Amino acid sequence: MKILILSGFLGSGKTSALLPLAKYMVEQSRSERENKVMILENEVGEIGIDDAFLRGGGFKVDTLFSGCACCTVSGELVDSAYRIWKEYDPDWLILETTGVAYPQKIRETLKNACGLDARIVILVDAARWKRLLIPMNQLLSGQIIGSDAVLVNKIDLVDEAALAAVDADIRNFEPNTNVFHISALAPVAAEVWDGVLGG
Amino acid sequence: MSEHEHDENCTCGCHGHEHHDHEHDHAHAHEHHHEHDENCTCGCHDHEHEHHHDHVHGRDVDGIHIEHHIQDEACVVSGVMQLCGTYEPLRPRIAAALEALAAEINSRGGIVGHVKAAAEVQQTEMFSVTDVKAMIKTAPTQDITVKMAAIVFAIEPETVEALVEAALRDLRV
Repeated sequence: MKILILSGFLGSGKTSALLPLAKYMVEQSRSERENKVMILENEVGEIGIDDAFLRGGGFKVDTLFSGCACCTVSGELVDSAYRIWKEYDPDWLILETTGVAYPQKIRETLKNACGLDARIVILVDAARWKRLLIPMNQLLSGQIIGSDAVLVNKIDLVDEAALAAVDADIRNFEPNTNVFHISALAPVAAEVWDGVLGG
Repeated sequence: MSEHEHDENCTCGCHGHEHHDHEHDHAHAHEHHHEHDENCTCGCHDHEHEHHHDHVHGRDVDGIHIEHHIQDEACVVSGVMQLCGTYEPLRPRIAAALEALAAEINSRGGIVGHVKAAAEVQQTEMFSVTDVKAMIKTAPTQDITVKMAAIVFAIEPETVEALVEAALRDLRV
């Protein structure tokens, strides 16, 4: 089972990107498994909103409520990931974190507890980046550092100069990550998804 | 909103719940009068990362369940309400309610992380055969569950709770 940690600040578009990504993963799969892709959703609140939407996309979704997988529900995270691995052994487990999570900590937890490796992809809101950069600097940089890919989302809402500034800030935080641009107004190219998945 | 010093002698009563890091709440109380934008120099965003979590505070009022907790300075408010009605006219009203909620939070000096809602609609149809032909009856109204969540910064949780509760309540009208 491969794990993809899908993270990024609140409202950056994680849930919106997750469904087409999961569908691409299913299409590309050559395995005979019944469940090729499963989703583990960490909701920051007590009430599920995103998980219902994802189930509507036809995927099996497990949910961790009211807490951050970095620590408060880290035990539940490990248990859920381990159980999904042993019970279903999907090709991919997508873990969608809360918008205030530090995905590196989650990767470390999964590695230390289960020996499972994970890729990290971060969603960035291009439209709000400049406004959030100072007040949320620690969180934004902490999410991007150590990531394998960054999807700069909502590019239709910013101009070229603003987009270039976002890219520069991202590279400043993490020079080794792969940066891609996406928008809800256009289907995401296969090359982008391949880059996210490490293919 | 914050017209007095929230220090150790403060008796304003808006700190009635436990915090893991009391100093952050004083800092946030002073943030309510300025825009936390790219020019923000208030300095209350530069601190060591530690996870701070509060207990969940929940209550039920007139069929609306509302709760909040604090997570890493984010105020997380969740609300659920059920109603009977027709979903189609409700749909744009939910969207408008979220826009108004975000605008109100911004106008009070808060930072919107995410404001979102989900509507789950159940339409019941009854099927019946007594002789040959099946009869199908559609219930005149739908059971609609509206869930709302606001994850925001730099604003008192009780204020956000009141705003979310009001937003849900207004959908009943």
